Amino acid sequence: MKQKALHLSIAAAFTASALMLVACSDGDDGAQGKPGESGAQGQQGPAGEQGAAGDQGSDGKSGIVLKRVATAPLGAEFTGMYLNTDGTFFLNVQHPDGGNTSADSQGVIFDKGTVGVIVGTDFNSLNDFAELPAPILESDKEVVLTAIGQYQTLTQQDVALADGKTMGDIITLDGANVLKNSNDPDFNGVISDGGTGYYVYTNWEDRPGGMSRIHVDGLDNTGYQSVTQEGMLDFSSVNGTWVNCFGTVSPWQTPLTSEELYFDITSDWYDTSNGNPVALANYLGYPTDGTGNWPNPYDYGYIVEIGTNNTATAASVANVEVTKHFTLGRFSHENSVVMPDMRTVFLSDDGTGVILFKFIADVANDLSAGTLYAAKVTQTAGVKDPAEAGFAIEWIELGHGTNSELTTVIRSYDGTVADAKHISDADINAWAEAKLNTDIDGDMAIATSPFSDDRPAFLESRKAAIALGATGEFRKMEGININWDLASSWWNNGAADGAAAYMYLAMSSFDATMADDEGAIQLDGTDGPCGVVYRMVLEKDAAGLVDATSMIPAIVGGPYYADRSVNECNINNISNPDNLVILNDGRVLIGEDTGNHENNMIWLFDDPAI
Amino acid sequence: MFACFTFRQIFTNTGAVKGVFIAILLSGCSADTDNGSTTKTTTLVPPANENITRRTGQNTSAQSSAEISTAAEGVAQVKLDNHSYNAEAVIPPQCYTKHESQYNPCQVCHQTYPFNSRPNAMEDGSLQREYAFSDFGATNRWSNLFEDRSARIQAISDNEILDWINTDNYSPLINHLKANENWRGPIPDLKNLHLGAKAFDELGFAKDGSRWVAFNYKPVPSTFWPTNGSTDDVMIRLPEQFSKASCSGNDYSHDAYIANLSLLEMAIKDLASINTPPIDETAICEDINFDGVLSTVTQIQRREFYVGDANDEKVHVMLYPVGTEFLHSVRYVGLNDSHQVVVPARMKELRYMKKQRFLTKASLLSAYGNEHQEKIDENLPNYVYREDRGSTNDFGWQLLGFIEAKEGHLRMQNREETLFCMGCHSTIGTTIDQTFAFARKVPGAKGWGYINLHDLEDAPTKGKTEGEYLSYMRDVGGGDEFRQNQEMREKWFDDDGNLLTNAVKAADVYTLITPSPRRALDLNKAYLTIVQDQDFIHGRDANLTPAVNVYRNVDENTPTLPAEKSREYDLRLDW
Repeated sequence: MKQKALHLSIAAAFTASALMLVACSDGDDGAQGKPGESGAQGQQGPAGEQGAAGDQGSDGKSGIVLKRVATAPLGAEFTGMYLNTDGTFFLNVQHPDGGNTSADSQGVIFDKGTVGVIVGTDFNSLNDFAELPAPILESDKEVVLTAIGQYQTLTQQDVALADGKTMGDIITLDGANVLKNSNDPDFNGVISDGGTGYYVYTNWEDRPGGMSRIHVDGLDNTGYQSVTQEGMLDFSSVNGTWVNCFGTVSPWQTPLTSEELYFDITSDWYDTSNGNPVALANYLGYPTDGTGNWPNPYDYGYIVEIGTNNTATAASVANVEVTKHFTLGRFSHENSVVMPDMRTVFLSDDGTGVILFKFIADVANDLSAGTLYAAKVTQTAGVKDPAEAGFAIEWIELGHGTNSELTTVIRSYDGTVADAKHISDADINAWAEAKLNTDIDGDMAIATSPFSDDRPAFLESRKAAIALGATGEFRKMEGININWDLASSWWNNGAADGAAAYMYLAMSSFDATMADDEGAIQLDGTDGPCGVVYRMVLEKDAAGLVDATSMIPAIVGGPYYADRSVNECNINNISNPDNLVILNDGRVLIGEDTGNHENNMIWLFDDPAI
Repeated sequence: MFACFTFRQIFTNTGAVKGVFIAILLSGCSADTDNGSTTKTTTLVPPANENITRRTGQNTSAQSSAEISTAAEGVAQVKLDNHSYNAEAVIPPQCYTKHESQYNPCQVCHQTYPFNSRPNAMEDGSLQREYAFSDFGATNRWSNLFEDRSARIQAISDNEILDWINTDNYSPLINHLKANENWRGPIPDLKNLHLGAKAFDELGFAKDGSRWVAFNYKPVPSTFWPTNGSTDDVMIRLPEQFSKASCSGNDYSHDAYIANLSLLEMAIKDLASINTPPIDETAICEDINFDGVLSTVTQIQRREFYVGDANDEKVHVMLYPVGTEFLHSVRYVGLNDSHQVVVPARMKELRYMKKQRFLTKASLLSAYGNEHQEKIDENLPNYVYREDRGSTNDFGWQLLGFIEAKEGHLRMQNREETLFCMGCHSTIGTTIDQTFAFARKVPGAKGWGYINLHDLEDAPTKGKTEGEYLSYMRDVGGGDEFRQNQEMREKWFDDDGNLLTNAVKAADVYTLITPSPRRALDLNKAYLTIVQDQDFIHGRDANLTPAVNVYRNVDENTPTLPAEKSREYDLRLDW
């Protein structure tokens, strides 16, 4: 086997984005381990000496760039990372291995989807701590281990709920039948009840999707002493949801759940042998063989705001109202994050050959109308190393839309399998040519748009974006996030020169479309299966809004060992980063969804560049 | 695609493995690939007057003790190297067959049934038509198919191979596992299982009181046809409460066990009623035929709950209760003194399954959805491997296997060898709760007892009228997935390749799917060379000559099967 250097690829762009070393002015930056032996389980290179005691000392940072905070049970990915105002850190265990039989210290066995929280430590004031080693014993591999605090299980798949359902149930639209029961808790959105307790909204990522709400209260050092298993939300008012994935909570305290729509080709929607739309047909009460009405493809694939009309804290889960924001585009939403200007939203798109989006609301605190943009990127010239290659972003305007207009448009696509109504590629091309006044498809003519509106931008967002020149080459784009306090502090202080706030974006992999020899993105994909996290400095643009015009690699996973059967990505580095949470001190919690680590991990990343 | 859909994987070592390793109960994946043109097998072997069964039965004690010591050494050396050769080992060699746009062996595994009509929602019927592999899976890594074993086959004498296959390697395994205090996995103990039928009573109940029950079933086409390399048997065991009737003071109640097994058979086959061996209703304190009196009955109807101490367990259509176990021994092709094909003592593999967790139909629908999403995400298969506890699939089952070591003892399968099991027992559409054989049991009372292919008719699959094997052979253009079992071609097809329909219809299952003695011996020899090589990661199929109707690679130009060649197939049979 070829020797391969273990390089914890911190993309330390010490030059450009220099440096508010928020902490740790002395300690060395360590971290660059010496080359590890390939093949062995990836010894971490010496982590870099901890900086000598440190003159500042108070901020609790150690100078170590990457620390393992938690490990997931075998077979599971970590989801639902959410930093609560009370200092707890919510964290779910999605689809653990059914063969897990070891109990944690609380007696919980992780053989089913689990919603929980790390308690007993304050993540809003996180001191230095000793890194959690990767588990060795099977009994440790089968539970949640944490470096700090302890994991409190709040609920699991199958738990009986006060509304008569069981946790994870996907109920048909008419409320009559349990269509599915999901093992896949995802996003947690935690909303204060106005007192000492919280409502915990949890996605159940399924097709159709679901969301549960529980109530927690009485936090002490051992956890929430009161846990009420409330019920599952009713999405019938929006014809159900699809694969509720990650999300964030809006500044106005509504969970924004994401529909991760993996339907690149809408015509496939009308294939009655495809179980996914068939399941939706069943959900809606339509014949599943395609002989009657069929689900409308344009009903799914959006950001869904939970608790609109001030119902997020409604006493009964049955009274929580939901709104699909067609304005934020239709694609494979991972999550959306609202900026401190209360108008700008950045949105990530999961899948292959995907796009980074931005939305600017017409008015603050209201996502129901606005303009959608897509990123066109330029890679650092001549640089393929994923740890060095950054991207400049130009935002391409796709169109303006409102929920009410788009609702009318979407309803016009109601129909049957035989109708197979959808926006064709030709229509998208014609719309784009008319918009750009350019011949895109090379037929020597500029087409006339078949639409009087910008519907392709919102209903076929990916294709529309690519037609208008955006970069559709990202790969498995996952969590995008800011720390609200840091970002709003920066913004509210005028976003003055010299001050900075950052957004981070996880790219689960950077192989395939990010590592080919075509298009705008051409990275060296050697370690592509292990992923990368990008840092995006926030800016104030000419219009007085939040913007981001660059993506700089912050940390790259790997090395990747293709001939291994487990831990194909070095276990002392990130692999397939997914959920991101930024702490109040700017450090980044990175959660994994990876098949390349036997136990998925949570890392604390102390970005050396800031 | 033909690909048995996959997940991710993991694995240990390949090479000269002395270690203990693990694998499972496949019912459909393996085959032979002699391309026929060279091997003409007309001589009815076994050499002169030799008593070919001389090593069976009790004559094995000396050999056994030798193997125990070998096994002990092996078990102590679990090799935990994490090297991966074939991350897509879930895709069996059969999936690389050249269908040439007309032959369709893929129907047996890949089926789409109407939405929510059964708990299996894999819905992979489209894989009959296209080779929809991952990039990694596009390369066929089952290189053993292409190996020319003819010289090595020649070098093994008939006596040698007969000695080999008639030697018990099961009892030494069990003795070893019992003696090994470090063994954390199941011990599939069934006294005298190597003796086949002799280990069971007339109704298939193990004589040793272990509560394993053998049943007679029609082998799945065509990997488990003896003519393609292996004989086998399958046993089922339900949790203890299914064989207890506290109401009548019976800690073990034969009546309760038979009643529950019969209720389960109805559930798995989705039948309304079934005949049974005599069941004394007073022993189980239930009027299970609903005639108003407690009597001895031989016909029962579908009901909501099991009986006896399991009367709080709900019956679920096409789902086994939690705790159900299967034991499946895959063996060489034995020959008795009359040159008839029998199940010999030596096991190639011992496969074990246990339902660890009960998933409702609604949960399974979600789990299958996850599997589909994994494919969309382009993830390779990924299963946790727990060495002596095997691997668990996402549908509630633990799978564990033992395979023959070079020295002949059974050893635990390694990670990649175990991964191989997961293709057929996780992510194909045809299985009923991840299993094959029980749904194909000879129905009712007649089907309890050790496997016996004689006098079984070629029953059609459910919904069809023509014999299953008849239509299979016609659809496949031969007697195996690779159209290379020359003996089957000669026996059942004319010179133009047309199936001899009347001859097939006139034959019983035994006649249809067992090989000549010459072929049986050669198949055994061919497999023994793989055992000697210990390279199961390159394939476990006994091929007499190198395969020709198998792709080494598939790509976007590989032809697909026309829609009209696609077939609906129900694993269940209409007897």
